[in-house]
Formats: sequence, structure tokens, C-alpha cells
Amino acid sequence: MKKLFVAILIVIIAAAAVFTFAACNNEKGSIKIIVPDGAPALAIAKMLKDKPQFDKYEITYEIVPGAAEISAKIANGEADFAIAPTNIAANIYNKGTDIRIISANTFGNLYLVGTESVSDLSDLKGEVVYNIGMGGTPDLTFKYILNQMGIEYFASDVADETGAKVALHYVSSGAELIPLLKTGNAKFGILGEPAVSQALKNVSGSIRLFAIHDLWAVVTEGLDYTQAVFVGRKDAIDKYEGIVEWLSDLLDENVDWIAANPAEAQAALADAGSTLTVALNKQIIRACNIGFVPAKYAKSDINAYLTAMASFNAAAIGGKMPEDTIYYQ
Amino acid sequence: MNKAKLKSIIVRFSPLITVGVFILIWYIAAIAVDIELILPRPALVFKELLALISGKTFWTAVGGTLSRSFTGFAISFALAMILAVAGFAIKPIHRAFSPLVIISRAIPTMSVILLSLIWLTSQTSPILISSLIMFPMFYSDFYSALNNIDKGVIDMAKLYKVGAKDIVTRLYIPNILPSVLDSVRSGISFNVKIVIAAEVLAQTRQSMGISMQISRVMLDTASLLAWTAAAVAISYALELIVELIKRFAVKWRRA
Repeated sequence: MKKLFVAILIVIIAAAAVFTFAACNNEKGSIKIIVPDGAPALAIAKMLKDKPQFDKYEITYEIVPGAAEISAKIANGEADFAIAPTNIAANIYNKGTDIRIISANTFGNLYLVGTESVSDLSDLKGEVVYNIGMGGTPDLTFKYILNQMGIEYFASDVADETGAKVALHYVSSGAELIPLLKTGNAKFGILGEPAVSQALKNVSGSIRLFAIHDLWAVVTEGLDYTQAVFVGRKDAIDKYEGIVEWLSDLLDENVDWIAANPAEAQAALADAGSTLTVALNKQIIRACNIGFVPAKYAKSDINAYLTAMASFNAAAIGGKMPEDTIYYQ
Repeated sequence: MNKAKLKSIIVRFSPLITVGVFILIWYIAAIAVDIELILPRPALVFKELLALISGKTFWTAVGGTLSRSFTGFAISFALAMILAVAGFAIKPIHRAFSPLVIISRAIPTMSVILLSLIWLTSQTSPILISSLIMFPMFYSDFYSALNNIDKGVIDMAKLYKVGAKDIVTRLYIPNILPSVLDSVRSGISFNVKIVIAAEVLAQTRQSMGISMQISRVMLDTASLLAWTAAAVAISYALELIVELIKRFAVKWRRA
């Protein structure tokens, strides 16, 4: 009996520990804005540098390693606002965290790079195209474009000898693709800026063949490729009245500022702990395609983007299309 | 029911009780956190696991991971056995190989993974990684197993002019078998873990690693945990098989 008692005690202690841990996350004395490392962080570069404060509230700006941290921190309330990949925003919403999409902020930083020139996407039949991250949005986007253009593809690291299909092969990041392009093991690859510029600089004879957002516009009849959005927790939006308009102005202002001040933008990111090592210049910033479009104007583009991602796997957007309430009015 | 009987029942089912307590703590934690994205409830994960098992992709992924695990395992096992026997028979060989063994034991797993991604394809790099990591473990286990055999017994066998073939099959093999099977048992599930980690980074098609990675990218924590549960079950099954072989082998040795 004594042992049983001990066992029950252990369970209670463990449960109490978990409760305390969970409770900690809910206490917040200030507003927190987070952004994933890399090109998306440019969307709040000026804010990372100036650290503007809203009214009497203290705002902290932070770079986190990636989308997984964004979703966890927004879901548990540790952060209030974030730049998030668009499908992740829908995912968080569908999994029960009440958030609003405030604006679309990045419009495509993916490019198809090659060490050989092609004039048309169908010329890639019989070739291997490398992509970053199997099942991720760059992969789903490229497959969607191929589908819409009626180009067949299959997953393989060996090219189709009959020349009828495009072979798709994957690496986990741009850092692995660059050496493959350099050694000639890969001829074509999809990369995100600023890795694209790094590849073009390091791999002789490599060229930027297509912008994925341009191909997207072709197959969607002119829609924007809304890759990442700015989201806010509904409770924070309600609590701090006027903050959305205030933040929107800052995001809008940032777009022109980074275009004019690449070096300062880079310094701001580095100071905030970014691991971005490529020297940014005006061309690279332009290729990162940072912009600002309020949710109500970007709604149809975002919906088309989410529909396309979900056509492969509904799990990519969290199971279903989010309701219209996700868009901040 | 007397007290002794109750005690024996508790002892017999204690592993199950632990699993039950674990799931209970998980359940309580999931309710406390109450965010599916961070920690889904056990029931949801089991539902997800059932859905996975009934799909075809699950089995191709498991098959792919297992075949890579076995290949890596077989390579490291064979290499370690050959070198351990050679090193045991001819000491200079052991000394000559010792830097290689030390290097392969000290080399960070992550740098092996990152380097092999550059050198090899996504299908073959998990195999190289698993054999590079398993080799030094097997080698030192096998080598010390050989050295632990009582020298006196072997000298005696030689004195009585027992044939070389009999010394190997009746003395060496039966003596090292239990410790070899012990290291195989602990190595086999460790190996599966390594292969899965390598598959995540190598983006290996039709693998448990890439399936976990895709679940992660899609924030599908329930499916990530379901894959994890599947990996645990498979490792456990593999260990169980080795354990059965060991029991059988011990019987054979006694006979």
C-alpha cells in the first residue's frame, strides 16, 4: 500500500510541475513580436533596430530560429505578434489558437537556379531538379506549378531517361544544395534568397532561371505569391487598442527603409541574433520581395495560396481552409 | 487473494503499470497545456497511429528505414567482427587499428551526418552514418569479449591436442556469443534511432525520418508523436527478437 501511495504521489507531483510550467507561459507583462530567422526577418528589420514602443507598453522584438518556434510561441501566448509562413498561420488558427492575419509581407524569395540555361519549364523534363525540404511549401509550390502547366514529375535522384518527366530530389537546406551545384552533381535547384545570391556568387556559370513567384503568377492568372504573413493573437489585438494600425504603419515604412539601407538592415538583423551571413545589397533585398499588403486586399491571393498547398495535403494548412474571420478587418 | 499473490501480480505487470502512469502524466500534461500543437492528448496520437498503420505509405517508410538500418548494421557488424578477430589473433593489427577506432568513436555524429550529405546520396548516407557510428561500439565489445575468454582453458585445449576447428566452434564462439548478442541487442535499437536522424537531414525518400520531418513542417504534432510511437514499437520488437535468439543460443550452447 505504501508503494501505491508513493506512486500516486509521484503522479501528483509531476502533474503539479506541468501545471506550474504551463501557467508560467501565460503570464506576460509586455508585448512580444517574433520573426523567423532569414529573409522573413527583413520584414521587421527597422523595428529590430529602432525598438519602437507602443504607448505605455513595453515591446520586445525577437528573432527565433524557425517556423516551429513561431507556432509554439504564438500558440502558448508567449508571443503576441509574428511574421509566419502563410500555411503555418492557417495551421495555428485551425488548431484552435485565435489569431488574425494582419497583412501579407513576403511575396516570394524562391528562385530556380541552374548551371545550364533553359527557356521553358518543360525543358526540365528528363532532368533532376533539387528542392529544399520534401513536403515543405517550396516543394508543394513547385509541384503545383508543374501540375498546372501539365508537366509530369516524380520523386527520384535519377533523371527520367525517356525525357517525359521531371525528377524531383530533396536536400534539407540551401547550404547543402550549393556544393552539389558546384560539383556538378546537381544542375537545377530551387533556393530561397539570400541563398540564391550565395549560389550565384560561388558556382561559376550558374544563372537565375525563373522566379517561383513569376511562375505562380502565370498559373494563377496574376495572383501574388503570399509566402509569409503578419499575424496577431486576437486577445492581444483586443487588449492593445490601435496597435494593429500602429504596427501596420511600421511594417509599411520598413519596406522602403530596407530597400534604401541594405547595410543597416543587415546590421539590425545581426544585432538581433540572426545567423544570416550573406552580405546584403540592394539587389538581394529586392529579390527577397518584402512588401506590405493589408489582409483585406491580400485575401484572395492568400486563399488561393492556401488552397494550392492543401490540394496536396490538407495537413499543410492544418486540415481545412480557415474561415474568413482569420483576416483582420 | 493473499498478499504474496498480489505482490507477484504487481511485479509481473509492473512494466505495464509504468506505461499506464506515463500515459496518465502525458494526459494530465496535455490537458494542462491544452494546445494540440504543442502537446496533443494520447487518444489523438493513438488515433493518428491507427490511421498511419492502415495506410500504405507507412509500411513503405518502415520498410525503407528497416532495410537501411539492417544494411548499416550488417556492414558495421561484419567489419567489427573481422577486425576484432584479426586484432585478437595478431596483436600488431589491433594496435595499428586503434587510432581508427578512436577516431570513429570520437567523431561527432553530427559532423559525420553533415559530411556524408555532401559526399553521398540521400539513400546511401544513412547507411554510412549508421555503420560509422556502430562500428567502434561493436569492435570494442567484440574485442573485449575475445580477450575475456579464460586463457587457461584454451591452453589446456591445445595441450590435449583439440583440433583448431573444435577450439573455434566449441570454445571461442560459445564463449563470446552471449556478450556479442548483448551488444547486438542494445545496438539494434540505437541503430534505428541513428538511421531516422540521418534520414531527416538527408531527406531520404520513403523513410520514417522524412515522414517525421514532414509532420513537423506541417505542425502536425500528433502525427509526429504517432511516428515516434511506431519507432519505439519497432525498436522494442527488434530487441525482443534478439532476446529470443539469445535464449535459443544459450540452450544450444548447453546442449
